[in-house]
Amino acid sequence: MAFLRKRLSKPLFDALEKAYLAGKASAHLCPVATPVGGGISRDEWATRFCEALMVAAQVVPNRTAIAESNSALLGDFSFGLYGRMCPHGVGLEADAFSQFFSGEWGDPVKFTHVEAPPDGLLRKTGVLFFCADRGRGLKAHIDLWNGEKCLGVPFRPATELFFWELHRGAGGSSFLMNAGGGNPQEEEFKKVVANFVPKEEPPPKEEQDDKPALRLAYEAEVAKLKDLIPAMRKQGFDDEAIARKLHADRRALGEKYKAQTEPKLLETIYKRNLEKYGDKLGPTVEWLRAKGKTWEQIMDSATRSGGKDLKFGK
Amino acid sequence: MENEAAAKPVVIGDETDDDLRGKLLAVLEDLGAVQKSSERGVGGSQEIETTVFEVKGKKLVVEAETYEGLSLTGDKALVEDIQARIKEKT
Repeated sequence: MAFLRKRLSKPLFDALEKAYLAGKASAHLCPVATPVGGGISRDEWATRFCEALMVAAQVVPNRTAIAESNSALLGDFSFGLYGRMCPHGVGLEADAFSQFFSGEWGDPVKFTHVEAPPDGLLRKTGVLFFCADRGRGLKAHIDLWNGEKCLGVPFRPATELFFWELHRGAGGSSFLMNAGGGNPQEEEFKKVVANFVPKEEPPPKEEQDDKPALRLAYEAEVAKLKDLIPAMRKQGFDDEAIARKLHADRRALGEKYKAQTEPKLLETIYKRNLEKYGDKLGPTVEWLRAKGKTWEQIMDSATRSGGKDLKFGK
Repeated sequence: MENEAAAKPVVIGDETDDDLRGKLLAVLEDLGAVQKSSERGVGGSQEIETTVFEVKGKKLVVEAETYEGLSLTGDKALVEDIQARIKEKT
């Protein structure tokens, strides 16, 4: 019997930042995560961080859906190996996130005995884990770093400081260069390829408030496809193989994120695709080739999304 | 009045060329265009954004579609004028 490990892909920093800043406190009302009248010592920063992570990583469509979930959300991943969760699968401890991310995203960039933000963090964005053996308050803390400051609490001295870089959306640099801590590109590439199928969880719900986040997430995943090009070339794939892979992935992403499109408009696009290309999901590779598109052009279009909106005032 | 049925989309560049989009919007603003509607959707691989403008009393459809490019559909003279103005902004 084969056991498959479900991995949590790195979210886009923009999406995580947006979800994190959306609520200044944990919205997760749960007897364990938010005990009434004491009970257990909890790290609300970790809970708040976890909520944002689950929204940004598309595990749930929004924060309020966490408490309505019938499954242990992070429990579906390997989080249970590292730390405690509430019954809904919300991680409760910062140090558990540190271990979890090392397992999911590779070794972090590590700093020791820091009193102020190291130069190596400037203009980078991602997740910071603080571990201190002195001082008041929690000895471990998980936070977001926007290139200049932490978004939760002010930067604090740490005995050990771990950093996982997460890129912003449009124009972000290479996802494959994002491993941090010396993880080989190949390992990251395998992770990308292994994860580039629609996830098992249901697609995000249609909800007005979530559309911008959904669009951001979609654009981020489309942009990530570009990183497959050098990685696949390095592995010896030719342009045709790469173009076919990217074309198929772009279709899959459209299906995964179809909730970002109004149902009526979605039907219109499907109908139009069928009439224009003979395929509900858009032109096939063969159709594009027959129209004179080169493999390079197919790769290029498949890996780019959106752009500035075509309307005034944007 | 233009014959809309006969109007064919004229592809003016790449669908994700932000520089081109910016120039197009600037030209439309110069021409006093009025935005009538805008919608964007994703169906399969096709990300389609369609915005309808009224320019000098004529309907102009601006559309960006994956693999297809950024196109203008409308009165021939108007489309040519817009293309020329975009070129001037280069």
